[in-house]
Amino acid sequence: MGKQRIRRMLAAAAAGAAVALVLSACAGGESTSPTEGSGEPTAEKLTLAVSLDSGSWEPALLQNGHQAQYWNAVYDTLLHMEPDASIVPGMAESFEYNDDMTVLTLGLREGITFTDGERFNADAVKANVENLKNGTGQNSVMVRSVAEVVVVDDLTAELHLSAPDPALLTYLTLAGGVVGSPAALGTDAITTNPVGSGPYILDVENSEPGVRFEFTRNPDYWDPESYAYDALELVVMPELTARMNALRSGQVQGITADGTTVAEAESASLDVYEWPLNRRGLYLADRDGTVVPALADVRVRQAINYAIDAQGILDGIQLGYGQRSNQVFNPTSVNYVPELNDLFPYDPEKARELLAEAGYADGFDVLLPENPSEKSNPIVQQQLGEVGIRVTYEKVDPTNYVAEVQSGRFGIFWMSNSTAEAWWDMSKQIPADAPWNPFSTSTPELDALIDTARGASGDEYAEAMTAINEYVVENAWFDIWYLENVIYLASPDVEVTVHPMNVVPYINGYRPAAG
Amino acid sequence: MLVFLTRRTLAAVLLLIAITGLAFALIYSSGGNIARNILGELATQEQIEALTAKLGLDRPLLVQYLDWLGSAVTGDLGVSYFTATPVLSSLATRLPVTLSLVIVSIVLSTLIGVLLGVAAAVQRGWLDRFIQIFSVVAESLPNFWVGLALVSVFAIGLGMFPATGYIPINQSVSGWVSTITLPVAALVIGSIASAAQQIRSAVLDVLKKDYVRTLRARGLPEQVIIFRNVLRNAAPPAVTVVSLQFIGMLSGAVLIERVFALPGLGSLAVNAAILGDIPVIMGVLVVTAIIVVIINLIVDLAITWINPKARVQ
Repeated sequence: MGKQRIRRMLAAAAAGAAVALVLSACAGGESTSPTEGSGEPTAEKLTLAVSLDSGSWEPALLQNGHQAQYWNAVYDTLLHMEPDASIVPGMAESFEYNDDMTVLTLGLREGITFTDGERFNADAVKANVENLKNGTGQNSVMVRSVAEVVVVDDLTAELHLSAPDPALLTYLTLAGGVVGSPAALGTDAITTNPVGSGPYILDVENSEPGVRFEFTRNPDYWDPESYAYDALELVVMPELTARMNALRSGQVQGITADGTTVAEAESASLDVYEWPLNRRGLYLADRDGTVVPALADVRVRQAINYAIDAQGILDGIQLGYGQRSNQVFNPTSVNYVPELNDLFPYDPEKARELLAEAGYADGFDVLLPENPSEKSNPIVQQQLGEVGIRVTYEKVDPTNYVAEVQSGRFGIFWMSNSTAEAWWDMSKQIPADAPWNPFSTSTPELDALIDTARGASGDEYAEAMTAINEYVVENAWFDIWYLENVIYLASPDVEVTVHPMNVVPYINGYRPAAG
Repeated sequence: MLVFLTRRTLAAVLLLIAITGLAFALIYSSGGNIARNILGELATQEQIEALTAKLGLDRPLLVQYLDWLGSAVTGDLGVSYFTATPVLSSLATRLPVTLSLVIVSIVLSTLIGVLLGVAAAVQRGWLDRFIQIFSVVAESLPNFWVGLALVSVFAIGLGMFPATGYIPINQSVSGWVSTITLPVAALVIGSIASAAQQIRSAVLDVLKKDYVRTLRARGLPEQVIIFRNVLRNAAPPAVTVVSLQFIGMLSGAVLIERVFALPGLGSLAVNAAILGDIPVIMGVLVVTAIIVVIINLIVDLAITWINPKARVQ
């Protein structure tokens, strides 16, 4: 009797589960924007997955990179960048340097208002530049050269520079050029509720920080044609697998990805976009031999370049999604020289010869910080070992890797950095006070080249910057292996135009696909 | 009972202080430069020092901990270093997601596990062998792998369920069910197997007891013997296992939340750990510790209710 009762209960449980499954299927089939249940993304709405949370909405604390998609939905910038990296008017409808490039005059677009009703004018520009410069955000360096903002009249502002800054125009297209309402700057409220004049307005009520953000079109935006969608949803999805599943199931229309997902994306008929952006390789930072005396000899640094099979790392680890380069600059930069990439082919024998010439026939020992996410570590250790350079790795906390390598404890370290505008890239890692020059190394020759480039324009600027590039490559300041291609995947119903200097497209880069 | 509860509460408070103190010391003494991580690679030394002072990170560790503890007991767990969102607010929105996932999973795995376990113990034969084989297979499958397989088939392939995301139950009951079905299925498969095995063993043990034979000899119906006597006596070890599964699911939910992009406590903790967002990490720690303490208390009370021999005088 008991056994029959148990059988009946099992049967009832199975039937109940089947009913629940059917009901769930009926309920679950409709939504591809799961947090809303509002139906599949349409041409009127663009839904994207973003791998990082928004962070603060305070203009002085905005981030470039992945998080740019958040702020460029709600904030506009003084200047805009075209897909070919040329710079065009934005909130400033005209921009002009004086003869010695120490005063940038901005003619401001009339009629722009912020979502709190405040007017955009020269006072707003002054307030924003000073807010950024005096803030603790990492993009304050973008306006470091601005000594003073002068309000000439209501719609004219002058940025007076302490020294020429060839990258300033680029900065004003990025987070450095963001303009928020001056009445809201520095308040607690703006950290969670942006007050800008951008193409969209954050729908705070229907957004959940850390999860998803809904935006509606700003009816007062001055350039609506540049933004094809009436609504925007940005969903926070740190996990690549989740992003891929969301894209394949139609819940989102664009995601950032990597080379491991390209085959799956192509088999699922998704569109694959890739463009070279991140340089990867070793920084041979201790060029004065402070902690690693051997590195003071250029022949030793050149030997390291010859010892590492950069193409092999590109093919094996990066799966070929990138291009061989030993330069710290982007191929679109005025000073990129393709011929320089042939300078140090993989040649362990040549490396050994150079080390012997430099007096290190028996090699030497070197300590490197171990970034646990970098797969090339054992390759570096092995290939340098084959020429006599004995590498020992020291484990460092991955959340502190940047602080550790900038501390000056390690003469050589691996790093991946994005590339952008030439002067910006140069100033981040080559001058003595550059954050990525932890030993503050410099030479009179290089300093002279930098000074020349700083005050130059046009061909003279390109020449000086090219000379800087050639100098650091020939003197093996780095052992850059390749430029990694950024991979972006999109639904075939969306056409994407990538941003030449950002890891993800800006919001104005999305349009419904033709046909 | 009052004395028992008072003692347990005091012990819980001491445990929380010990856990948070140890975690605080481990995190803050790891040598990390928190201000630099927040400001980024281009920060100047002046900016780093200014932010360090602003966040109070230049104070002695004990002073920082006592300050944090003093605020925490009033409900102020600080704000995220990276998003400026109050930690309590983040926890309040994330905790229900994880709890709904875990509670539904534990209820389902317990109900189904009990049924299968009792059936296996009573029926024996082919059903018992099938359940044992199923248990071995199910327990050996990683739940995130199961989740990926379910998404591939039911979400991407058949389009029956959403691949990612979460709809709160107060927004839409059917939407909530649709968004947790696959994550729960991924979580429960191993738990059902484990619960079934535990119940099977416990029931088999009790069925051999003399009093069961006596009850049968008295002519009591088998289902009464099974569900009123045998199960009740087999319950205590099963209840303990279920409580351990609940706690285990809290950590197991981390991977599931990442795979399904569920905005729960687990994904919050992982993101905070990657960034080094210490206020959030501490907040998650406090909440998780409180949940574990509460679960253990409930289990103790349940066992004393089920088994009068264990009741406190």
